[in-house]
Amino acid sequence: MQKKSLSLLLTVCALCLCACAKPALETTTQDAGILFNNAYTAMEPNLPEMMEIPEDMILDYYGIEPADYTASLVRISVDNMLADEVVMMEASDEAAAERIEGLLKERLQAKAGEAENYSPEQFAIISKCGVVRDGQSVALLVSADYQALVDAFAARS
Amino acid sequence: MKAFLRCIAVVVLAFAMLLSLIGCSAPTAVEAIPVAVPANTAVAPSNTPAAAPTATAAVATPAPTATPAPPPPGDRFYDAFFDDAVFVGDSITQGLQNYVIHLRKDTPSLLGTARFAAAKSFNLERACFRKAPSDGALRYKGKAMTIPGIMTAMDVHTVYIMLGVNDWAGSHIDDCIENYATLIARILEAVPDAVIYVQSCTPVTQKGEKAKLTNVGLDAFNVSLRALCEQTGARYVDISTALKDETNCLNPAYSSDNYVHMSKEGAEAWIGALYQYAYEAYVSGAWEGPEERN
Repeated sequence: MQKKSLSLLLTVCALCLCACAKPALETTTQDAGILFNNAYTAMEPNLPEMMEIPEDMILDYYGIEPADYTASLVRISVDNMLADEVVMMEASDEAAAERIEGLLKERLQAKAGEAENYSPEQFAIISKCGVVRDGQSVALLVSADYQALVDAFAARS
Repeated sequence: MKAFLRCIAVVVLAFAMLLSLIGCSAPTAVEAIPVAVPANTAVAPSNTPAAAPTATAAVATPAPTATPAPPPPGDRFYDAFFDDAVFVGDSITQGLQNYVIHLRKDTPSLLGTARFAAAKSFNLERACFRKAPSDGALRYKGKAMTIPGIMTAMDVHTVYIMLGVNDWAGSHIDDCIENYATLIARILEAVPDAVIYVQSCTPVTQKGEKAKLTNVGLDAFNVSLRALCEQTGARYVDISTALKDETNCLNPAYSSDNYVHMSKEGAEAWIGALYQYAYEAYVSGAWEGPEERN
């Protein structure tokens, strides 16, 4: 009788522990997209008038394969003479995140190469910007207020 | 006897009635049935002079089908003229690219399926390199490429080029024309059936003119560019005229920086000039119009 009571008690305890355990954190595609939009909303006051690069142009523009990401937000300055650019991507997996990070760094380098002799002011801005990575989330952030954009990306919720 | 006579009388009367019923009545006038009588056509015997033809009823012949007027230059009809093309150039073309991307949200067929490859400091000199330059190169899918390389990678056979301002083309025309000739040859080497449209250099604002960059110089360069196109089979597209004001300078309203780059209004005027070109190509028969899309 005691053994049975003990077994029952242990079973109940095990069930309670399972119920109390924190659920595994899953970032769904929808969640990542929403987080990117929230982060971008926080960035907007620090940016000039921006325009969206449509998804079907991302491969042409950056060389990033559609299979490598599950969510994206891409904006460039409407005035092409300004360097401001925001690219946020949720990579499909770690390997894809590595590839995306590499391509965005190349993009930043190309921007710097374009601006170095053409527009020293914009070159100075680009030189202080970079690519940030948070797990499988990768972002290229270019703005005179680079730190504000980094903070908004880190705080996305 | 009387009965017999009565019988005979009845028979005679019945017989008379029967005869009257059968139709021994007086003939009546037949109503004329209107019949269309065909006019006589004179048939002339072979050895007699033809008789004067009689008047025949007029037979309405269908009027010849009038050729429909071509759609006006701004019509979506001309979008397809720009299909499967790439626009290449410098920061001025980048401005056009941004405007077209923005407008395509509402008008997806604007400039057909044309794509863009432009870089701020790209110029004629860099365009002639056999390999993509390390800086200021055109890029496609994240890689630096030459113009022929981009055309091959995109699998396009039509290219619209606008270069020269970054080379100060108006101040050393011969060198720039030589570079343009080299570029055209390089493109045809890589894409033998390429259709090459060379867009005129765009003007600068009056305030934006510099010693090495004047509208007079650019106009002279464009004249030489047109002549080069005639020699090489490339097609010259005049964009410059549509952007100028009465002072022969870039209309300030069309400039984003009161210098050389286009505002939204300038990009619209540029697109208008392109569609005007497409319209003229259609009217002249050089372009047959859009293919049937399945």
